[in-house]
Amino acid sequence: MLIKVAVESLKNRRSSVLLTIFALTISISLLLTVEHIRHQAKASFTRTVSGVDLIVGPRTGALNLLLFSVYHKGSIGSSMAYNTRSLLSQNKHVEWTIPVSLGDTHRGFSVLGTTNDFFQHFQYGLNQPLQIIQGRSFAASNEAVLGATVAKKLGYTLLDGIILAHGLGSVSFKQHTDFPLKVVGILAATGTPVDETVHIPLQGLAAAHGTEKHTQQSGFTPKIALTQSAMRKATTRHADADHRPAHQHETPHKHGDKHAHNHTGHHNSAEHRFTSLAPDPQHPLDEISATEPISAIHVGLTNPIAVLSLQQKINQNKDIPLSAILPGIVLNELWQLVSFIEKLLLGIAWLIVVASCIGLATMLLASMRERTREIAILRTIGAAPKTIFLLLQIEALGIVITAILISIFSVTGVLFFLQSWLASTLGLYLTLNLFTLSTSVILLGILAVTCICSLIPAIKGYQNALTNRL
Amino acid sequence: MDKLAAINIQNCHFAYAPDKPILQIPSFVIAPGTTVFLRGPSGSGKSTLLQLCTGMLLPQSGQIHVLGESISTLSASARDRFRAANIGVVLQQFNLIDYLSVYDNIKLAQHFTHQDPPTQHTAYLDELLQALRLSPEIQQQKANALSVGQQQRVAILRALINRPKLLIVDEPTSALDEAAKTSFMETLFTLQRMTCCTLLFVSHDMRLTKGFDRVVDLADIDDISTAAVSTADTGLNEWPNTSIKGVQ
Repeated sequence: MLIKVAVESLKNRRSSVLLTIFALTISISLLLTVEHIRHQAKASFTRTVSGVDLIVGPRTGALNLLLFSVYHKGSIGSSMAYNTRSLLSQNKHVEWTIPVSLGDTHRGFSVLGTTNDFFQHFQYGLNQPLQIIQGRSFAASNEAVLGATVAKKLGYTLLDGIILAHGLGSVSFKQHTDFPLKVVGILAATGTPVDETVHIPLQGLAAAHGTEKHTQQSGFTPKIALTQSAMRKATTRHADADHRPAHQHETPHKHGDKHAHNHTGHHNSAEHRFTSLAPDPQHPLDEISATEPISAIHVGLTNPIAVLSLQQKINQNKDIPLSAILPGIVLNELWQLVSFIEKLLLGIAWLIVVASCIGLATMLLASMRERTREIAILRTIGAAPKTIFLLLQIEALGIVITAILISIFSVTGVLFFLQSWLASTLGLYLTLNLFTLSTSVILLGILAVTCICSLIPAIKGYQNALTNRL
Repeated sequence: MDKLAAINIQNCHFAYAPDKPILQIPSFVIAPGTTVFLRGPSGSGKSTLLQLCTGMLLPQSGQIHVLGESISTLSASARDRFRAANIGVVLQQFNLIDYLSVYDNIKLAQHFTHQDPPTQHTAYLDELLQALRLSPEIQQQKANALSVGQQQRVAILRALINRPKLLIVDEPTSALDEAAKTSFMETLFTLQRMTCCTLLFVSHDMRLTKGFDRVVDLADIDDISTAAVSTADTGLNEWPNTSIKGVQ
């Protein structure tokens, strides 16, 4: 009955109540969003790489190397030769190495040139290995293994043919059209940048760039500004071009012609369609040229204790300018960098919530004057002063709970629509579930703040009822 | 001392501030089942007296028994429950919570008795509606959609719904026109006979005394009122009707 009275009373003052709910909804949504993104961003960041003890790359900033090699964001000005990998492997503490080469894209998704070691050794989250849920890993150079999101978004299935584009960015005018790659595997979703990546063998990447060089030589020169990484590739390409077997220059043309008839009527957006999952004997996984440029090497050690000395050794190497970073430590540094802003945001969000709660209290307090009569009536028919107190608290809580529910719905809705955008542009993987321990604590906190703020009008109502000075 | 009297006030003293005594009543007794007209000019303390009788105010000294219950010694919550269950009150104006429907206003009065609403109330409610010449459809209307006369009749209905043994009515006709006044008084007596409750009717309008068992002048029972009629401090001890000022 009391709840009914509260509801009717709020309905009676609906314009001021709606405004208050609106103000509260905005502030609570803000707080929930900040808190959710804060937690998810941290989780999302720290789960991207696990089990990698060292990341070795050309000499550059630690943060830069991490962002580029793990998140595929930004760029590093130079590359290193593939033979660095064998140099590293000679160290007795090194258990495995994964070479990665970045710089190309496929329809906005980054392309990662690597070897099968990637699928074997790369881990994410809590030492979870990658899982190929469809197909297999590389067995020929013209093959690709897709991340879960890439396959889902672009509607690719096994045997589809894909074409790489040069440089980063979703729209690229320069495409390696002569070298279609066959999708031979699709990875399970990981909630990390791996999902957004097309993995191809280093040999395939080299071949794609080789044919591109070939087309350039035959007079086709696209008039576009190359990105920094593209320029890097273009300049470092000259040396190894001579090493490449001659037949790789010709065969891709044949391939494109052979499968052209399959092109029309296909359900997905693939440009080509292959017929067999069997490795193409024309594109064997040759030994990788020692001078093939790569972006970074992920290193796993037999003995993690050796990591610091190895890092120092690599960083101080005078022959080759290299950087080695401990991903965990750099991740932490990165996090510390943003944690100040994150705390500031959270603080501001809380202040806004408190301000809105004070607004709520003000609204209730302002209504007390016109409610003096109502309180007298309630007292006359036998309501206790504490009932009046309760009534005002119920009204305040009703407003806040409504605002909280609207906030949860709207934040979930916004996240639902922004989820994929955040993942593809910021590499931020958010879950839709707002109910974590910390958000629950925050929601309880909001309720507590409301109760405290609405104490002022409630106590006023109580006194009003008690003295009955009308 | 007649403990079974509807109202029994002995040596009662009340003041809002120590230097401003409002009431000093040596003895005032109302026999059960009677109708009493209490007369007094505004500001003479009669509203304060009513609030003492309903237990909304406590005297500084003296005893007040209502329906045999020593209301001044009950706990605060027991007093509120006692009032809800045993005393019906109709005020000059603004008896209803205007954003609630008539039905909810009535339900609310039942709610505060802290009893499960008995089913026989529907029959009783129909009886009251009929006696008050209110159509059953009126229950669904919002209180602020009713005319003043309708509101006052609903107020009586609400006051009687818990079958109180004491009905206190304070200047109920001051907002009504002459014709409405007459019909209101007739209805009030009809209902009093129907429910056999004790009726304490307070007004300054001596034309309404017709039909009452007993007419009492506040000045006759209140020592202060006798002396203070001419210098009455108005405004302090009024019933909720003064809150009109607040609204304006």
